[in-house]
Amino acid sequence: MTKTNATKKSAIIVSICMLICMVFGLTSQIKALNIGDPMPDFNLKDYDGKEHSLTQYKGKIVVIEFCSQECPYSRGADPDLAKLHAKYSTKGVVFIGIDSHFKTQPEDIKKYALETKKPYPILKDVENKYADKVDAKVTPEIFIVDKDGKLVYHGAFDDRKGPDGQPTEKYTENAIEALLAGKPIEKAETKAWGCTIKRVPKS
Amino acid sequence: MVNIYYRCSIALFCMLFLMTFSFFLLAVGEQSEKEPVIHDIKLTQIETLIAEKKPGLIIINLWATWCPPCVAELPHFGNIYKKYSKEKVRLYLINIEGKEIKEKVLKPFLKKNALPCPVYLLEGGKPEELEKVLKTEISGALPITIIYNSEGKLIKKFEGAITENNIELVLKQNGMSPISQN
Repeated sequence: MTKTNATKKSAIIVSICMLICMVFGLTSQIKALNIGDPMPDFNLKDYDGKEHSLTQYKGKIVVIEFCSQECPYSRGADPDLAKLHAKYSTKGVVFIGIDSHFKTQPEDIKKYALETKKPYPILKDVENKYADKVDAKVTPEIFIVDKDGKLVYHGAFDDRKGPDGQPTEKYTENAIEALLAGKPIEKAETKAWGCTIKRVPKS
Repeated sequence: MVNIYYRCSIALFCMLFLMTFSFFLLAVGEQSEKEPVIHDIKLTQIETLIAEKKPGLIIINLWATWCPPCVAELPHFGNIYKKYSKEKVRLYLINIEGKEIKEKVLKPFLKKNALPCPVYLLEGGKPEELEKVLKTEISGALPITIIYNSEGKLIKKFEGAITENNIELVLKQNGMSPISQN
């Protein structure tokens, strides 16, 4: 009797342990970076060779845009991002572009940025290391970091379905407005269509 | 002298006639160009077709006209459509750009890039909503190709560009063989 009880007990303990492991395993698999987590720092150079890090912007709201000039959908958002920059850069919001496309070189970025008058720095993420770190997949993909360096918004720029499409929800602008007003961000995580970030081919 | 003028005017007349005739032919040619087949499709319809449990496989490809790798792989899907039984390999090329692009963008695009198969135009549908009906996480990066078996179970997901060979391998692994080699 006592023997069966002991077996039962150990069986229950084992199954509880397994369950805990499974839950932990699953949650850790689902996401590397969650809303509220500290945004990993970067040290990347812009197309003029100037270094930028996330910590240097501490105390400011930082809008990070994974972008690619190779992607029509990403290019389509550029004029609207420039408008947001014009509207919010004087209010303590920093805009930064990150290009992780393995073929795009700093001189290509410079040419494009000057041609299109992209008003904020675009950093070259060599070998898509930072994209891997934060698990960025699409262009454009937005990460908004609050004054304390925490990730507060992750996802689409807005909900348009094509480069020239009309958005019905302006996720990025809404998030910035909420942050500036000290209100919670209504949609802190969204998804949108876009181009895959073309990473260095694995050999 | 008169003779030369006479000859020249005949030649000119012939040229003019040929030009008019070729313009006429071109116009007729354009008119006879096939109208592309575009079906509207709703999220609920996608959900139903996956759940139908019909024999064979379902290939769902999400694409957009603005996405260069999507456009590049469309002919590969066209070839698959021609090669395999339409009942056993049910192909759904679903454009995600919404009904507002149908006349101005999608129709002219499909006239230029003619496909042997119909194209589906998604009504509404954000990536988050599609994830629910497709029963899988999607990043939103296009193109996306998902293959389901007759039980509606996801058997393969490609995020990014693929080729005819990639698809054929999955088809072969699941017992599908081409009905023609064209």
